[in-house]
Amino acid sequence: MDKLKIRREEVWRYLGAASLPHDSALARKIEEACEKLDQIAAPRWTSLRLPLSFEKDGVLFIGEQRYISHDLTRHLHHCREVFLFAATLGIGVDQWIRRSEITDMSMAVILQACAAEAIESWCDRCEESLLQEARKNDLYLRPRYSPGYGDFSIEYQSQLLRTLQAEKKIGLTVTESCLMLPMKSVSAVIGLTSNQESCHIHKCAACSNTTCPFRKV
Amino acid sequence: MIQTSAHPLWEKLGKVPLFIDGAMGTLLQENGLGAGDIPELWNLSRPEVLYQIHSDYLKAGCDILEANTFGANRIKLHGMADTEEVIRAAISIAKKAASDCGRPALVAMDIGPTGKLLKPMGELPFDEAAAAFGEAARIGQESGADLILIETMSDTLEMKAAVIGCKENSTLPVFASMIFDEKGKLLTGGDIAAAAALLTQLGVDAIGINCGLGPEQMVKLLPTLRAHTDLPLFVNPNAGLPRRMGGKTVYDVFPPRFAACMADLIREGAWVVGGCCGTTPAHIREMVRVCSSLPLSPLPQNNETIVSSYAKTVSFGAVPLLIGERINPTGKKKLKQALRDHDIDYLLREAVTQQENGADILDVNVGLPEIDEKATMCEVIDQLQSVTDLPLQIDTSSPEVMEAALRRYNGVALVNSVNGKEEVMHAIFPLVKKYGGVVIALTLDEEGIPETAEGRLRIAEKILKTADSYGIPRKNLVVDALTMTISTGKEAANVTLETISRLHKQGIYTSLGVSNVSFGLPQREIINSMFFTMALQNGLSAAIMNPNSAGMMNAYRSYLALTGLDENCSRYIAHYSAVPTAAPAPANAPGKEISLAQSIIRGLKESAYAAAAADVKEKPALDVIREELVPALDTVGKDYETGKLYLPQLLMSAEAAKAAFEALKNAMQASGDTAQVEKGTIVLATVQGDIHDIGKNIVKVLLQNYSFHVLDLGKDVPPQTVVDAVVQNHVQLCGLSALMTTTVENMARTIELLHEQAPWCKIVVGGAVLNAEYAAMIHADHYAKDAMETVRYAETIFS
Repeated sequence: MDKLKIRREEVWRYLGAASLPHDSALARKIEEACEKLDQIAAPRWTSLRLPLSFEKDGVLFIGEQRYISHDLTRHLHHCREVFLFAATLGIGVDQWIRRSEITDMSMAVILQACAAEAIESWCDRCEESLLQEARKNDLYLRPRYSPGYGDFSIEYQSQLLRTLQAEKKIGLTVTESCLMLPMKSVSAVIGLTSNQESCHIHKCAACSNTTCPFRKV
Repeated sequence: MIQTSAHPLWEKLGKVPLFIDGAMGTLLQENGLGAGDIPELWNLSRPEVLYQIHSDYLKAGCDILEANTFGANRIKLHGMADTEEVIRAAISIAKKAASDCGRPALVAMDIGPTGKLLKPMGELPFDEAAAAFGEAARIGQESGADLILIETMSDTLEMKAAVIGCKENSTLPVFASMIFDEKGKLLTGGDIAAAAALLTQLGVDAIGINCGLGPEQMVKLLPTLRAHTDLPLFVNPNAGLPRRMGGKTVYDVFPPRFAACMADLIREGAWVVGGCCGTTPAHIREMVRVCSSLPLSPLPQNNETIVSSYAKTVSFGAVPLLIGERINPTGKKKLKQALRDHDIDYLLREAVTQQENGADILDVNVGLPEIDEKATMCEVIDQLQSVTDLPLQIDTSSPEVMEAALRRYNGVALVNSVNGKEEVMHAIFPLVKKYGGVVIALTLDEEGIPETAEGRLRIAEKILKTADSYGIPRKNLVVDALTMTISTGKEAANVTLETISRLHKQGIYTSLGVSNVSFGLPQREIINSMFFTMALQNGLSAAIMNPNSAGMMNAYRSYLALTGLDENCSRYIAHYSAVPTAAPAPANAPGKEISLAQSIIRGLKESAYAAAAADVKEKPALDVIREELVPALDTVGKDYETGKLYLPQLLMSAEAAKAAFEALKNAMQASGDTAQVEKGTIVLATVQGDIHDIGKNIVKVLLQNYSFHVLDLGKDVPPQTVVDAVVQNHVQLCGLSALMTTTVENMARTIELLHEQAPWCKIVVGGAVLNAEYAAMIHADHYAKDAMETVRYAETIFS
């Protein structure tokens, strides 16, 4: 388990404060939250490299598992293999945020923002080792694509996590309504491709929620 | 020892090593099982493969086969296969292989996790999990399994549900093993000691570690497990730590090394050994060859008296323990009101405060005649365990409530209490035997409270003996010598102290409700803290007291420092070096310089409280609210709406305003001012299926700030529960939140029901997946984009 990397500018952005002058009391609280997160988070990840094949009408097979999604099909165009990927900060973070909601709601909100950034940067770091593996075969990685993006139904969450044995390996579960628990978790399909150009699209660009307040592009 | 089966192999347990088989999944994959496929379906479609795997392991020399039932419970199978059918098939294949092999072998009904997280952190109710495991166990036994092997659990609460479910539905021996990381931690944060304490108290037949680690790592962890249980141990390691090679997961501890490590594990105390992921018949064959004639260690005695939470253990004996008494309505007006208002957050804050002030264990008593004690106790225990990792002391006089609480409690609870009355002992001890617990034994009986130490010791002895007849060892009782007030009997304190001292000399742990000593006297803390010190000096093991009382904590920390229980006085120094000595208040004390309005605008909690307390001495509370609090909140609200402030700052102001309200309410209560501050009642709920409710909680904080009374129904709330709360209280406004696209349907259903049964009620909705159009489509009255907007809408409804 490594120390988390939490980019402060991203935290400010999640707090909706990127364009405002940075308040020093708040800055101190953010530092406090980052320190706490470092103590309580238990970041883990797991992945599985599987063959990919396409059929018609948006049907695709990742290993033995069948999915239907036109957007995912488009996203994985030209890929013949994928990594299924999942990462989490662990249940301790959920517990501490809940505790903060009781004692200090502003701290709870700040922790949310810090944890949101921490899981993103944790995923980025995990992906680096997947990229190294891909580079051995002269391949690159497409951006992460998660259930819930475009027409890649969030209902696939449970199938994806089952394939990864994510519950056993990293303690990541999914509720009946497809919410991941621990909450600060990410699951994704990452295509392996020989075409490096297709890998530099920012993840926001792949998202259809064009009115999202956090959209970067 | 295991008595439930006449199988010849049980005779050998503890005499020679017994061997479990190796990996199942690994071999199924080699036979073509794809990632994500359901392995249990092969019991029906590919029985010959399973038969072959079992036979190979038997040929390798194993004594115990694990049937292919790891995921065969109705929650994990989730309708993808029939639970009964796959279990019956699995056991029958394994039994056939066992009977064909020509020597005795046991078939284990293998039970793995449901794949769901239990409440309170997840959504699966404890009893649903216990029922699913129980069903699997019952079918397993009916199909002819010889034992139940629960494995790969990473949540102690799910493990508890599994053990209880199995014991309630079968008579088979239960082996239980959990999955730890290299530091000895569960994925849910618990440690080996906490897991061992729980499983030992639940009375499983053997405790184990499996999966996750290779044998080398387990050798390092097993001594810790051995130190915390007197039960037989078993281990099923992977063939090393998984490693990635060419896109595949590989395990690289090969049979010779594996077997050598397994021999080490036997030397560390394991009686039964086998393999998990990556192990093969070759691993098992080599292990049997190397280990079969090794001697086994005898079971140790374990004299620890331990209570635990999901995360940690607290043990009696070394240092006197503090049991926080603040969650008990007796004599506490605000707590009573909170219980009547279902304001669980108030109790949770009491818990967190006591923990921060140094409590080791928290007493939980929610008995009020006008509330449903059982339902409240269950909810409070769940909620407490989601915000604190302290062990809890369950305090109720109702055996029914005690059972419900002990059943769902995630850990080994302190049970408050039994006494020498036959009826009470026979009601409580069976519960402790079944669910585990350390019991507080009050030294009173049918005849009342003896006036002498001899009398109390006699009752203590009677209780200890009765406990023993239920199979509850002495070490799991803590005797309460009973504190009586000195205002009615001059020997009261002396008798209590003598009882403590004599019990202490007999090696029996003791507890006291310390503050009872001063009933009827002024300045009670003075007497209490001195009596506390005297009790500690006489050997008191645990005090039920108020950790928020400076006097009591001063006595406690000083006692530890003076008696060498505080190494280098570090605890004393850490606490007191930061506390200024009682100097005169500085000229710029909070509240003197910063006005109430400024305190709120700047989000300063303490100074808001102080300023409000000062202001209310000058003018009526309602005027303070109207002239200072409300304008300050308005300034903050407008700054937020115009983008000058952001959410955390808005909330810091809200917290400051809340502190100011608290000061005003206290002053009003003291002066008998009954002016109505609250504007109206609003029901809030996060809809069924959705368990992410921080948004709703933010709305709640702000609404309370603007003097609305909030009935918070929590998260994952069924539609009818929302409607019932609205109807019962004839509420004018209901706020609903949803986070997921999948749960917006439940929001729509809730709204539909509300329109039907409570047509007068307006509905405001919010949440990440909603927008104004969608809100209109599901017939909500209003969509609020953030918490502030909900406040504004509420103001229009109640104006």
